[in-house]
Amino acid sequence: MPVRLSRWLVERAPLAGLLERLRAQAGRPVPRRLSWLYTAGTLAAFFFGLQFVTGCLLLTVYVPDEKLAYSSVQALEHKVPLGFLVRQMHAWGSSFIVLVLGFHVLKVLWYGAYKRPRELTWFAGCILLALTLAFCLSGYLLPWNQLGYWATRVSVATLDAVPGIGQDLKALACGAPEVSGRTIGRFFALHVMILPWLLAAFAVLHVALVLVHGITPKASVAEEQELGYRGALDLKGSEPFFPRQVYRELLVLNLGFALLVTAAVYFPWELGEPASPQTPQGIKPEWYFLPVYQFLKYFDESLYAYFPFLQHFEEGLGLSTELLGICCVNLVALLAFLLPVLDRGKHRRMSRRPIFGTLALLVLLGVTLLGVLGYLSGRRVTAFGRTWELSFKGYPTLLPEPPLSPVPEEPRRVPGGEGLASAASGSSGADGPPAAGGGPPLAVTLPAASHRADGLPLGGTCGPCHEEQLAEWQGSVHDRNQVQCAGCHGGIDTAPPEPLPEGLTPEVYAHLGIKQKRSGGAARPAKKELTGFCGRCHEGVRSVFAPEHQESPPEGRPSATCVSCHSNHTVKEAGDETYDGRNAYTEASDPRHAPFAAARAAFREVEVGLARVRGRLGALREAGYPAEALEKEIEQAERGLKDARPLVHGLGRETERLAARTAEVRAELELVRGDIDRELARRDERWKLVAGVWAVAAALSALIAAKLRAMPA
Amino acid sequence: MTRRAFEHLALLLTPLAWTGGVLAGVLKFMSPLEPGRRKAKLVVGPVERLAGGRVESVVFNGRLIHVLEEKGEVVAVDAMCTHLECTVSWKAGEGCFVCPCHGGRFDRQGKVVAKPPVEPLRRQKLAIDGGQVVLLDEGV
Repeated sequence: MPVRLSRWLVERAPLAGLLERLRAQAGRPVPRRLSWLYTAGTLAAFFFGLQFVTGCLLLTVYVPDEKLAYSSVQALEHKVPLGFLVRQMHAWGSSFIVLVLGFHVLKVLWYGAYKRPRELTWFAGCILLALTLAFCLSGYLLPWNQLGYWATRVSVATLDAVPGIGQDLKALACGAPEVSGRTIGRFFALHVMILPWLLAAFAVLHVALVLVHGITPKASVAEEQELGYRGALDLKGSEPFFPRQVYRELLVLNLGFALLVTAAVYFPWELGEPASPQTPQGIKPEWYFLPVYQFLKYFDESLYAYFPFLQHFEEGLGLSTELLGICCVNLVALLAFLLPVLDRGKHRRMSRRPIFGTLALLVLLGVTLLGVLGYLSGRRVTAFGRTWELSFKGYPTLLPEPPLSPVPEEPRRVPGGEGLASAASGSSGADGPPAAGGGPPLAVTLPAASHRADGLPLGGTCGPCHEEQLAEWQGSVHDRNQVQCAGCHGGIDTAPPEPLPEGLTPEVYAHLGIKQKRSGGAARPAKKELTGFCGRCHEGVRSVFAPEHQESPPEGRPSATCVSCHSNHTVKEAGDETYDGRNAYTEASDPRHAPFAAARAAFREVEVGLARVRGRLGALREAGYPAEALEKEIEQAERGLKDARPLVHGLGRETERLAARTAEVRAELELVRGDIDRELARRDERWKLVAGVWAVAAALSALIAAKLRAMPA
Repeated sequence: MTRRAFEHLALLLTPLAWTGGVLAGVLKFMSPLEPGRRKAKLVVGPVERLAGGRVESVVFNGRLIHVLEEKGEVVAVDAMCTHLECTVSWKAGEGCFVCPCHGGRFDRQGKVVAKPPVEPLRRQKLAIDGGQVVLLDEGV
């Protein structure tokens, strides 16, 4: 059957011919003892292939829409199985490709491989490099995060400098006057459709030209012209492409893949915040654009001080310094592109090309220096025990030695006054001068606010006379929730009109509508009315409290009111302090003791569970996990607990309901905790993936190394 | 097996292991996401809301559920037609649930009154708690 199948295939598909051609290619001679740099081209092609595979996978989840792009990338990173790996491999893949292409270009320059007859190969390669950078630029925006958004805005803004049509060019690129949601569609189309086809076309051309002309021999251009390719190869010795070069490339691909996975897992590109109109601090482009970014910084108006004639250019030709900078960058790129035309020397060995070698070295050093300055600009650098601050343009300024006095502690925060403590003390927080004597600043007491937001004094129209009650109310639950005196007692709590109508004093005005005692003055609610008084707002509590405590309290037990536990104007909230402070149902003989204790235990259990889940969520959030959905579920559980609390007022009558409600909240929290733990465990196990990849890589590398070693030199 | 044959075999198998690993990763990436957590119950509203033959429609754990009162009993039926999974809607004029895809019809209790469906609509568990209709998902 297999024989018949293979015969069937061979008759219909030119497999035999294909295999024959492959064999012929493998046997083609290449220069002997090729440098390891010759593997860079294949490695770049391999990474391009990986970008294609990971890109296709990303396409199944990513949504190119202003509102959904960020969340879809978040989902990729945190929800989709292995989504983080695919995204990180794609993100790192672009950097790996640029790096490997850099080595590939260095190899071509070093060995003079761009010279006749391989000029077209060089041109195609330059276009491939430009397309790669376009890939990087267009892909950077797609996650719609702050970094990508602002990097793209800055890049696209350079188009403004083009005289006359700059704005139109920018609008064409963005689909709007600025980078916006419409730009995502354009960059997405460019990234996944237009650029891949262009890249594929030029890659085919590049590889076809390499196959036509062969790997550059070590002979000079003149020798190759005179003797032909084979003859030039024979001058310095040759060997077949297979096995040595194939094994070397396999070895490099193997290690490259393992390195890519390692970088993707251990050095992930942070997604950061979603794009917003607020530019974040320290925004910079990707490392491979840093030299251009830094170079363009020097083309501002300060250039006129050194080159005054440039001002005439701007006045006469409209050539601004920004445009001049862009022209310079493009000129360098154009010169590099035209290198085979400009450098027509017949020699390939670097020792015979001293002028080119020196120039290339200077350009390389300049590019590296600009890249480093671009990275360091705006940062502080510590070297040789001194700290330097590099300006926007990269000029260093030596910072003064730090004082030897002890660093002051951060001012203590005052409860309820976060962030204000330092302001109250007149210092500027941690950066401010140390307190007198160099010691830590004393705890600061905030001056109490004396007025409400509506301009009335605290307590509104009641406060000035009822100072004692006002003092009790301050800091109470009602105070925290903006429930004013009039909210419970009635009366008028707005500023009296001016002038007051005749016969009306401010006091009478404030008491209008309040139930009066016969003797005059405001009537206090009677004890039996208190539950109804509070129940006007807290009906849920009243309905379960009244039957147990007022309508039919246990025999021998006094009836109670809200004030019995929560006090009067101080309005204490429920909690251990309130219960214990009031000795609530502490007598074991009290039939309400057991249900109350059970309710407290149930609440305590839920509270402990909540604190635990919050702690676990904090750990997950620190790992960059988008915790909004889980946060909402926890808040829902908290609401469930809050809703269950009033049931405690029903004691024995509500035991079952209370137990059921707290059990529901506990179950909800357990589910959330399960989700969090699973996610954390998943993160902890990523090392296994890297270990597996390196195990395979090490095995294959060892085999290939053994094979290479066994080959004759 | 000679050393050379072993080396050749290993060189062939290791890239195959790579490919297999990558393919396994791709399959894992493409595997369906875990469904969102299902709710154990959903309060539809007071029973009185179903008075006068009114049909309440709610979405519960991703499924459209019709709730109604029939002969003093509260009934909840899954709106998914048992023919080819379109959702049926209540036609007050005809007094039955109608599937817009192939014209299947079901009575107020979900029984088939007109083909092509042959199976009745799936019943959804429910409870009456304090006068409120509560849908229950027992699988949660």
